[in-house]
Amino acid sequence: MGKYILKRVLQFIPVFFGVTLILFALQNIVPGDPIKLIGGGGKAMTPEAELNLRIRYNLVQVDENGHAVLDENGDPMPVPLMDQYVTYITNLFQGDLGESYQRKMPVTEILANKYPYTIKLAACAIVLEAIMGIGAGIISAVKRYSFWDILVTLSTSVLVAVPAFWLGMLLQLIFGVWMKEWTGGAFSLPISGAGGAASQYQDWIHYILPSITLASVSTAYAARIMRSQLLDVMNQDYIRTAKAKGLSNRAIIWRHALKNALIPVVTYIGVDFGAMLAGAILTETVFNWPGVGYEIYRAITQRDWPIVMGGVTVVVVVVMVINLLVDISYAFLDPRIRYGAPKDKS
Amino acid sequence: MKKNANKNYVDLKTQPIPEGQHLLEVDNLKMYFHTEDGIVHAVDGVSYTLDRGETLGVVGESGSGKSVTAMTIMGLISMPPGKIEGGRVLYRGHSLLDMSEEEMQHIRGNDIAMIFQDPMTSLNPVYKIGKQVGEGLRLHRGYSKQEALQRATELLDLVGIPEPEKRVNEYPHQFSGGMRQRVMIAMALACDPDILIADEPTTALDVTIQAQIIELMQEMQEKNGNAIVMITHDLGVVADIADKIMVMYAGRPVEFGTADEIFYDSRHPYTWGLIRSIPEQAIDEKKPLTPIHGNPPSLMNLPAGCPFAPRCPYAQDICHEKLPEQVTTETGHYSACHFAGDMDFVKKNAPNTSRSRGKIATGTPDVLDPSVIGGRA
Repeated sequence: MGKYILKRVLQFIPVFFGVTLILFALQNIVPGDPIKLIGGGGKAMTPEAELNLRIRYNLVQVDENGHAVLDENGDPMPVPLMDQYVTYITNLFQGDLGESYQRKMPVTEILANKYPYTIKLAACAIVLEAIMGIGAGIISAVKRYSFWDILVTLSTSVLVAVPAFWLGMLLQLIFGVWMKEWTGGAFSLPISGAGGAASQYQDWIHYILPSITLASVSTAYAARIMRSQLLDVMNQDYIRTAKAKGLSNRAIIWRHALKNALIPVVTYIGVDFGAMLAGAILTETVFNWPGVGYEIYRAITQRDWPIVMGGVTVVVVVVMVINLLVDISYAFLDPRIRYGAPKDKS
Repeated sequence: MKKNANKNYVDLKTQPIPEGQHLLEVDNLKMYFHTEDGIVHAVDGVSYTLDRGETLGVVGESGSGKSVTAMTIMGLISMPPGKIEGGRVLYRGHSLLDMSEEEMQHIRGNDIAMIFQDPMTSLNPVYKIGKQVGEGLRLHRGYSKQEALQRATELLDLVGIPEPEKRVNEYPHQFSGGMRQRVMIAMALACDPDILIADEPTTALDVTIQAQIIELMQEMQEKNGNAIVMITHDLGVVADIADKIMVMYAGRPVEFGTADEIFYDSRHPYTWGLIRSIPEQAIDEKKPLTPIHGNPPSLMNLPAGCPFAPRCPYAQDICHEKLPEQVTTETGHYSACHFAGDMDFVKKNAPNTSRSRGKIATGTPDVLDPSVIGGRA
């Protein structure tokens, strides 16, 4: 096991450098000059101020006196991309993700402010997904072809097809706007933000709609995987063995079928949790959620590359760690993996 | 699970068999499957009796209804699509077909246990062997976890698994096929059942392991006195151990008798075909195998007459028109063939497995010594 974990951690290295390098290259391809955008674009900034900003953000080469190095046309020489990247990585390993162009704050500080919101939202959504997805899947498999099965199968088909942002807006409209009108303001759900002193709602109420929105598609998938896995497992020979032993149907499902059927579902939910921690850009944007997803979205529109780079770097690490944890948890569920044995031919 | 779940339940095993009845009586059992394409006559009038210490061999090709018969007795067929269309199954005088699902749960594993064809897939991959073997004891006998594990270790030892203390804590994938089948046997015999139904227990195993498993089942039978129903498509397998043999074809028993009668005095052309298709042990010459030509009929539209008639080399007009009655001898040996009573026909066409020749090559030439077959029980 230790060897396996070490191997996986070593695999982090190329993935990490690959992702950051690609991202670094991309930000130079995307049109729009971030420095010009600081001043609101156009002519709001003097050339000197602009040059000073470029020097400050390590975008142009400087001599030993701190002056920009000019080329034969009198333009400042940009720092080669590779050098920028090396500087970025060097700073990164010292815990420095640079400074936001727009907010004039260290990126680490911004992310430290935003990440808790993303984590809390992801946690709510994943709990919802696990309970609803697994529960609906079990009911639907156990009561196959019943009303409940048809209900689950149909509603999951619909949910899978509904884009999260659209569902979010729909929920906002129904619970935030219509409900308020119908009940004369007595009942409604907040349509944005994560509470705070200015909000008329308690903080936790703000989590309801974004959690549902964020969890919707993957809950539907989790339910469908759970259903098909359980039905598949119920046809296995060892279920027949359990039945021949005299176990009741309930005992067979709970003791013999569920643990086997859960293995792929747990994997799916775990990987999904990693994805949610990466910041749900669509959901967070629709709900004005003060998390990393929305922050990255905002940063992209303003070409605030340090935040994008820093945010994505953190996200990459988080996702890799979560995926590793999922793989390790897999081994606890499935002894065949724990002992490195080949899978049965079944 | 409630420990005293079966507190109010009278253990049928401890009750005497009613006068004049057998341990297990299957009488004209019919199980049909109602599918979208039509009715499948999977089991169509199977009858036999079984007593403690006896071994019944059920032989036939794939799809002849051997397994479905056993699964019906165990109540393991999903209904629908299955439906019992008639017949009785009496266990110690109690009708199994009339029992509720809950009552059947007390019977399964406790009174009648079953082992299956593929030991590679018949054990739950995520639980330790000890837990799986002891599960029945916890359920039927109310053993504690500790007691069940203790007994599971003893059972593994009993079925010849080395280092049982270590092996109870291992998972199925750490066992070979033969060892897993031993585990299955230990599991089935855990609650000391009256009847052990073995559904092709050796089919998925290496030839070298097959004999070991059969031997083990015999050994356990001698210790426990349980009855065995051995389902197989291989006459050679039952030759070793069966007291009685039922040959099935297309959901019906076509011949039934003692192992002796089936091997040396069989009256049905299908049984002859099965005997002829056992590979002969040719030492100095290569002989081609003798197959039964054609395929079993669809159980959905059986031919009008004898179901074997289309493949039978001796079929006459009557065979295609009329379902044969069972021709029964005074010893209870019956054959469902129009010509089973015609001794000239039988003598002329039966395979050369007369007692004077003394052997059918089944791999071990001496197993068919008459003193071995039927000599036990």
